[in-house]
Amino acid sequence: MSIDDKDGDHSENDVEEAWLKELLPAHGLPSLSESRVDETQELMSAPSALLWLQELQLIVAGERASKILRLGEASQFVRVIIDSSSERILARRTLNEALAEFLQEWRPSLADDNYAQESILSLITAFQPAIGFIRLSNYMREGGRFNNNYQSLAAYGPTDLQLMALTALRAFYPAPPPSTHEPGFQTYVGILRQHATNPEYAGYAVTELLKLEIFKTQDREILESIAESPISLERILPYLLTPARRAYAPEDLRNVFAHCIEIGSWALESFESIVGNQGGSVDYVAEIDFALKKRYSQSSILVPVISMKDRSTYPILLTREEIEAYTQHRYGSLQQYPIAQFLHDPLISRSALGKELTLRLEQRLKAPDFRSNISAAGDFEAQLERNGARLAISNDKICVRLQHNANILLEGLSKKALNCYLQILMYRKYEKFLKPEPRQVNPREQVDEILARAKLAFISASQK
Amino acid sequence: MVLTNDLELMLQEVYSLRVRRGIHRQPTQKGNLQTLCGFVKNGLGSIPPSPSHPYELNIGQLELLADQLVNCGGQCAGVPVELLDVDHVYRIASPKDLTNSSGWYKDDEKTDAETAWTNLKNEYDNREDLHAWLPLADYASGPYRGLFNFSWWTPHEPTGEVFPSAHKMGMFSNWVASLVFLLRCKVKDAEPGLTAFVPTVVDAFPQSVFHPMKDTPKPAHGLAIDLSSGPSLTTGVEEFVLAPIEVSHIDVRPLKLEANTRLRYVDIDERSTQIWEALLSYYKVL
Repeated sequence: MSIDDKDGDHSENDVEEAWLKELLPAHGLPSLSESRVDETQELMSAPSALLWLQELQLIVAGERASKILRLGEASQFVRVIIDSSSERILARRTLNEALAEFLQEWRPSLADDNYAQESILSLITAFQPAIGFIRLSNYMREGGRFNNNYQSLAAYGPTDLQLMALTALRAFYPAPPPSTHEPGFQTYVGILRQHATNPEYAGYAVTELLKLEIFKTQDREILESIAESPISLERILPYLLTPARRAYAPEDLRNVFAHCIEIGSWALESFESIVGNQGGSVDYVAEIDFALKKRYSQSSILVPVISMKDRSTYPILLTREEIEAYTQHRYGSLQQYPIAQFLHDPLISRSALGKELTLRLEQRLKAPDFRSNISAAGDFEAQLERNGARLAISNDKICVRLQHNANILLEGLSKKALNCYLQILMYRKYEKFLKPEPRQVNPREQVDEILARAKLAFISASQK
Repeated sequence: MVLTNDLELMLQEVYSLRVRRGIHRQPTQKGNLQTLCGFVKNGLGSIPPSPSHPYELNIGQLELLADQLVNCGGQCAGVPVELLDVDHVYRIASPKDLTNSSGWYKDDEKTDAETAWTNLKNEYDNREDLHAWLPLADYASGPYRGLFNFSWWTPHEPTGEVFPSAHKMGMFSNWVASLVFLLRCKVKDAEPGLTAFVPTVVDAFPQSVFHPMKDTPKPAHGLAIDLSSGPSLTTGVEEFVLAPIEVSHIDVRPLKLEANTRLRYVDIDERSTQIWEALLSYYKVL
């Protein structure tokens, strides 16, 4: 023996020996009547349905948990027994018989032990006994639910048994069957459709329905799923980018991109970020500018292009309406860019800055009443001042004066907005000479008051 | 055929010897060990059948023990070691261990780990570089945690049929799943330097195979017991425990262990009385 650091000194003191005796098991030979052959070893050497049934009951009852935990899940534990058996084919066949018998009596219920359900679902997923599909689908199509937040020791934290049940059903239909009229398949599709409207499972269900060719990427259901459950896109898009789906990628990506345009800016941003997570990028052929609108009718259009890390590229061909909507979103999101960041961003050109500031001022001066315009202009000026800039008049034009004296002319400002701003400046100058305006009475309030008075008069008259 | 009572008696004896040798070789862990032994004797007894060792617990008892191990706070408390002269450390993991231990991106693969393994295997088989490992960060985010929030690693790369390497790492054949992930942690790339710990008797409390290193002189690494070296067992490969590690430091390789291969190593199984006899002899002279 080559033990590294033997010392041979095993002297424990009396106190230590006392607690060791108290806490450790006292050895004693068991009586012969208690002695039995290890069930698992017997199963490995002479597999039978009866022994499997016994083993399955122990697994589900949690009695094999120490061993299962090392292998991750019940199905791996069973696989190791089969692979260790000298009668492997018999072991597999008798397991199927035992599983069928075991599941014959099983009825899923939310009240069941979570560990038992986790073990059974693991076994159904791995070995696909037909009765397992029947039991699960009957329960789920009637709206039956599993615990979606089971604190599983094997999962090292919360595990979603509802999703596990869905993946167990998936094991029976990983692809469309030869006949889609098959009753089992129809039931499964129905269960997936149910889940497609549940924000928690919509992404999963819609992706599975795409895989089964029940949904197409252009379908309205895909748009609704993304709109109602933003994380759906996180599941749908990576699936569309898998090598297995590559042949359909140009059309699929175009359709989903078009859905995102319809949904709004966040969906487009999400699209870009998910493509980025998959190692790709979304690039744009032209600069975003409303001036391009004039060219939309021609063939030269704004084309987003998806480039993946394996160098495959997918141009997204959009319709004229989609491009317009898309440009609106992009332009809209630019307006939400904080002014502080905007003013000091070296990547934004002076002309782009001028256009953006013009648009922002223009929008603020659109209120129907003069007082609101005064207040909006004041807010805009204050924002600029906080960033070391200010609005000024130069040669009868409005400009933004930056710290370094580099004026940016707001050339595109409409005549109406320009007049409005000049009026505001005039108003501020002569405000102190103006009389306060009389308080306006809301005509609705007047009517209510007259009605109330009439009601009182009627009541007092009827009492008399 | 092995009798359950024979195995039970041997496990009880292994437990007694493990605790006694543990206290003697790692006196710094005496308090924790005392607490844990008391818990096995009294705390776990509330869930029948009352256990006489912590190696074959049922799920209720395991959940209680897991809480107790966390509360006792003695995990990854061994001697910290800077892995300076090691490029990589390795680990054999089950599919579920990998998907549960890391922030696996696909939820459905978390609940269906065999599909995760299959999908990763397909990608692995289609790779251009046949010697490449796949970066775990492509499939998961956050830290890789391991059961009880730490994991066991060795600087020796499992090779060939995996089982001989697993035995040298102190794993029985039936502790190795049929579908496995080999994990490789890049020690050199880890910023800041990855700190490993020499495993203690507390880290190894729920497992029956463990060689406790002596507290003094300060050990540079842990040592596994080579289960294939019977009947007189010897020490196996160096081993460490690591606290949660960022997935960006880990590479992964999926492997299927064929049943025919497993059959060749079936004698080094947890149910073999010979191996327990050999282990008892090992612990007795430790």
